[in-house]
Amino acid sequence: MPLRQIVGLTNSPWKLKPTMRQATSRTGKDVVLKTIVDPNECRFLKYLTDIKAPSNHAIPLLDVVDLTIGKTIIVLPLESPLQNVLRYRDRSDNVVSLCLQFIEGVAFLHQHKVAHCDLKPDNVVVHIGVESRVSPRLFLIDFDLAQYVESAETMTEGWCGTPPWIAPELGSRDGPIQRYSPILADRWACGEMIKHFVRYFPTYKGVQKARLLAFAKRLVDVDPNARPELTQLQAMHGQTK
Amino acid sequence: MTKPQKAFEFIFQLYNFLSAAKADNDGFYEPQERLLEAKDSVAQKEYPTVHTSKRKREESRGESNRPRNPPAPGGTRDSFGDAPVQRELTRAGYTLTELPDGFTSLTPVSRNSCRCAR
Repeated sequence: MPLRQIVGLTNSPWKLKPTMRQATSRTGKDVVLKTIVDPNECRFLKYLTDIKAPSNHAIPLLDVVDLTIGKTIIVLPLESPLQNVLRYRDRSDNVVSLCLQFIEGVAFLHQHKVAHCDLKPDNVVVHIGVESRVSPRLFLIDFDLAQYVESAETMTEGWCGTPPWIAPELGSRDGPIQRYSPILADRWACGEMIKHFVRYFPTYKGVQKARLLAFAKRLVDVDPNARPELTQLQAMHGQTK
Repeated sequence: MTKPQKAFEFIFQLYNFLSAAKADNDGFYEPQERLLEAKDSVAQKEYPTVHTSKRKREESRGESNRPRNPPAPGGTRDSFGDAPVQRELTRAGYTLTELPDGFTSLTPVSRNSCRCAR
C-alpha cells in the first residue's frame, strides 16, 4: 500500500482551476473558494442544495460571498477528485457503489429538470470518511454549463461540454448548428462514464460489470431517443441487490 | 543525500511510486484499450479554449435563458491574490491556504469545457 494512503493524503484537493483556491473556514473546515462570473452555477447550486434527499449528489453550496468589487465567490466543501480515488483503488468494492451513485446523481438532476451538460470524470469528487466503514459519497461538481430543461423532449442548440465526453448529436465545434436534447446528451455522457468506472471494477464484479456495460451500450446509442432513462438502471439494481 | 529531509522525501516518493507501479502492473486492465484512450486524450488537448458563450434555448425559462457573459480570454483572472479580496474573505471567515513555494494552481480541469455561440 502506498504510504500516501497510510498518512491520509488521499484527500488531496481537486485539481483547482485558476478561479479556485483552497481555504479554511472559521470552523477549521477545508473548503474550496470559486470565483464565479456567471450566476448560473450559483443559481443551480442554491436550488439543488435546498433539496434534501439521499439521491441528491450535487455538491452542497456552503456559502456565497459577494465581494464589493462586484465578484461573487461560492464556497464548496473540499473533497477528493474521482480519479485519485479510482487510481489508488484501495477499496475497490466501492468503485461499483461510486458508479451507481453517479447514475443516481444524474438521474436526480434530470428528475429535477436540470441537465448538467458537462459530465466527465473531472467533474466528480468523492467524500471519503475518516472511518473505513463509511462508504465514500460521490458528488457532482461544476454546474457552470447546466441548464433547466422541462423534459427529455426539450431541445436546445449550441456546442458545449468537454471532448470526448460530448454526445455525437452535438456535432463538432466548427460544424453546422445542431439541435439536441440536453437530457439525452447527458445520458450519452453517462454511458461513457459507466464505461470509465467499469475499467476500475475488481475482477470478481464480473456480473455487475456485464450488466452495467450492457446498459452503457444502450446509453451511447447514436439515436438519442433510443437512450433509456437512467432510472431504469436504478430499478434493475434494486431488483438484483 | 546529505540532507535528511530531502533523503526522507526521496525514499518516501520512491516507495509510493513502486507501490503504485506494482498495483498497476498487477491489475492493469486492457492495456491496449487504455493506451488508445491515452492517445485520444492527448489528442484532445489540442482543442482550443472557446472564449465566447451563449446558448439559445427554444423553451425559455425565465432568467436561465439569459445569454451568459463571456469569460475573459484565458479564463477568469485569479483575484485571490488581491489584498482587498483577501481582506473581504477574512472578514467573511475564510483563510486562504498558502501555496507551497514553487506551487501554482494546476492546469484547469475544465479548460476544454467549451461553450459556443454560433
